[in-house]
Amino acid sequence: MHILHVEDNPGDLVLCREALARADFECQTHQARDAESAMDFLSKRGEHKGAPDVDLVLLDLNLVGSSGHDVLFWLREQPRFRELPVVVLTSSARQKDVHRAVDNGATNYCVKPRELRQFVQFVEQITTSWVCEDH
Amino acid sequence: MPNSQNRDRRYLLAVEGTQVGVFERPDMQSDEVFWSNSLFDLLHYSREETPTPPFALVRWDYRKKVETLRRSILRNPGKAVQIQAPMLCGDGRYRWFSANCIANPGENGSMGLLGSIFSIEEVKEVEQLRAKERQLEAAVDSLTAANADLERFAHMASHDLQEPLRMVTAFMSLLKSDYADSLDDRARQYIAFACDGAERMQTMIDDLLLYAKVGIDAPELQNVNLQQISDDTCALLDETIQNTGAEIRTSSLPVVLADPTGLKSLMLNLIGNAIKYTRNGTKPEISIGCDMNAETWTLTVSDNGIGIPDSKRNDIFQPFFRLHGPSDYPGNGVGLAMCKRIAESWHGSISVQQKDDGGSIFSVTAPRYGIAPKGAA
Repeated sequence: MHILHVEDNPGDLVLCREALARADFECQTHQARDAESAMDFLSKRGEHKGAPDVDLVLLDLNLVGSSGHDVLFWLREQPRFRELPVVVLTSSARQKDVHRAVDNGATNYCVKPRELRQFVQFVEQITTSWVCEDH
Repeated sequence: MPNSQNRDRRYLLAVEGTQVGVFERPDMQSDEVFWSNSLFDLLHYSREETPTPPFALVRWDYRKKVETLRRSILRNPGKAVQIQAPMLCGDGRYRWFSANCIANPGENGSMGLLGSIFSIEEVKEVEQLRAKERQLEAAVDSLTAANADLERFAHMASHDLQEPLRMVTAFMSLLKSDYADSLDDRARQYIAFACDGAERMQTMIDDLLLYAKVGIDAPELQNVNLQQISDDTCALLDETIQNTGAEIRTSSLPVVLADPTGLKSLMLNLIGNAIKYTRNGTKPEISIGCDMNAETWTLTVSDNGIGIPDSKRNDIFQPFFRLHGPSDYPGNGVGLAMCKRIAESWHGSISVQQKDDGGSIFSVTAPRYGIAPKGAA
């Protein structure tokens, strides 16, 4: 099971990794710090030539340069990624962002939890409902 | 009598019936002035008084301007000039008049001046009213814009503040849970301080967000059963009421024009405060009432608490203003600021008065039937 976490905040990357470990979820997490490198990883090009197939994308919206919305739009444009579960994980609770993400085909939308405990709960929830059932 | 004199008299007669006054100063070297009867009436002087040159009646701040015009009139005989100025009337009031003046050279080389005067008081009043209206509209517009800016700023600031704070909170809790065993008591205490600070900061940001959200959109006002809202609020506060032994009396409360969400939040804050700010060892006694008159409704929440000094009566409605330390009475000082914004979103107001027995009475007043929207007839 491979998860790609698109996130530019190193703190959040660590938190998510910790949460996955605590949820006892066996997976390999890969990290992309911006939209371009996320697209490269998913397309297995450039320095990510030998990258594995991704089973789940955790996507932050506020990235430097192109945003998470751009990544989501790009993903859904390609037939091979149309069914790929993409969970938006962002600090923005703005209606505008929620609507745009859902319109662009986000599988789920989550506001980043404030505490690690909630982060673990979130991971447990996504791994059971979005990964295990579908794969 | 020469024909020309007859003609002048006829002209004068024609003027007497109108709202126009006529004056003539045959020779500028002399103070002798002639006023038509209508001019006496127009300027509120009795007809027995000796007329003065009209220029002498011009209000001081217009004298210089009028003097310049008068000189130009005298230099250009035959050219009529219109002058508008406030003039001192016989009843002591200044009123606005317009005068058409023309120089009239005499046969013996002297220079005279004549003119007609009519009132423009009503026109000026309307003009002044319009100017004031424009000023008020501009002030309201800039205030609305400033308010919107402030709301946007508060909203963004609090969102952006959440991010780094979330990191602090998350990693502090990680430190606490993962490294508790390898830390000594002092380190654990430091972590506790940091966590406490972060938690308080989080509450403040949440409150700031709530505060900024009130009034972003004008609420939809509807008829709300105040009794129902009051009962619901007391039910929400039931645990606190039981713990403090608070006694809450309501006189039958009417249906009022408000938005239910705002009203609930306002009641929760006012009743919550009335219970919270009590003197040690005193049971809170709170009465809730509502008076209606032809134009407004006024909700009052009265308590027997610690009261608010007169000098702080306005400050307590400022966001984050606190009269007491958090250890005495916990809170962030946003509740009353929110109440103020809620009342203002109904075009109403909130105020507080000190009671003789030391408690406070909070009053919220709002229009009974709302106000007409801007631009409506």
